[in-house]
Amino acid sequence: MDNDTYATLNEVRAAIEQLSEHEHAKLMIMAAFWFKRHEARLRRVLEPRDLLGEAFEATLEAADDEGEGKGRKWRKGIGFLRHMDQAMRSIAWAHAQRAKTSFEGARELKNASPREDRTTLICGIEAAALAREELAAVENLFADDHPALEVLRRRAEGKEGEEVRIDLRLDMGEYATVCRRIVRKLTKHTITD
Amino acid sequence: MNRGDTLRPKGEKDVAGAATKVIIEASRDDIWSVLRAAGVEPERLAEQSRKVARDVLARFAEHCEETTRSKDEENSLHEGLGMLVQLLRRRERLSTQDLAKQARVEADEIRRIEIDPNYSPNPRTIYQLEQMFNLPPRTLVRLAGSTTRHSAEFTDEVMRFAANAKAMGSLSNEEQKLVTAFVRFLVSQGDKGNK
Repeated sequence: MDNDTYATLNEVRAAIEQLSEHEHAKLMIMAAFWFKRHEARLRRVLEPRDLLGEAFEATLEAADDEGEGKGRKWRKGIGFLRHMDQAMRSIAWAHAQRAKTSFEGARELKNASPREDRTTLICGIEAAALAREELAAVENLFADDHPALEVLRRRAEGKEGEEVRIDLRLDMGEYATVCRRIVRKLTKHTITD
Repeated sequence: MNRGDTLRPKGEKDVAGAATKVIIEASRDDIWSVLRAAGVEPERLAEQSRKVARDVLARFAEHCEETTRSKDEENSLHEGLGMLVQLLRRRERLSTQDLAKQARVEADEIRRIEIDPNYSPNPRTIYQLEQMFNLPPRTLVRLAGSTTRHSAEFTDEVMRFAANAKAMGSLSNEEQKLVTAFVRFLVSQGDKGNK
């Protein structure tokens, strides 16, 4: 494994052991968020903390791996929380895909040519369905908060916070207020609903 | 492999991902006030995550230890195998090349078996050497294979043999006795296993 690009096992262990209290709280919020996105399919098989546990395990496993491609590697260029966020999302997707019996997928499959790769087709159909659901869920949550939705849409385009603030002509206080609303709504919807 | 990142259709705006980015960037004060306003104790929530992390680290450490113990045990057995093959070869006054020729195996492999405890020998080579040295079936297999779990006593005996065996010149009377006793031990373990 390329130790210059990916974290070593010791680095992963250190990152986990050195998580601060508020970073731990954020991880639980994010775990709950991804669980909520796919709750209908996940609730019979796991809880939010299971997503978190699997993400920790997968990151350790990948760092310990000797090129067998197991687990989820932590690329050093991104923060540990960001990596865990992506890992939990990915794991939630994987569980949701396994659990999903897609009516749309079955119908589209009926119309597919017999020569098409059915496995790829199923994965593609389910992935598209899950992506649509994810997008719809978040946009519904902020349907009554246009500035928040705009911030999220621009961040989704890959823009960083300062760029978005300037784009939307918000001063720093206004931008911080919108972000706090986003955090509040996400947290309330995720942890307490 | 980070599969999930490739599943999202290209061109879809990652609004959900943007939402969690905002959470990651939020300050401790914001997170704490939001959680308290929602009726959640932030410290308790953090402790849940801490517990998950502790449990995962503990399980992972145990798994690493088990893997290391298995590898150490395997290396000890291979060391015993290497030493035994070397002594049996010297008892017959054979060079590595001669042994390879007579046993119809690769000379390189015999060299590796004798000197490299990390090396996992070819099962056919082990079988051929057993035939060559007129050993009861599976005498050497027991030392070569990593799939069978052995008792601590077995592994200890192997390590004791490897430590006592010398690697220079033709076999002394002491070395002859050592080899004979060890082969007898291996055969007896086989007999135990068959009962």
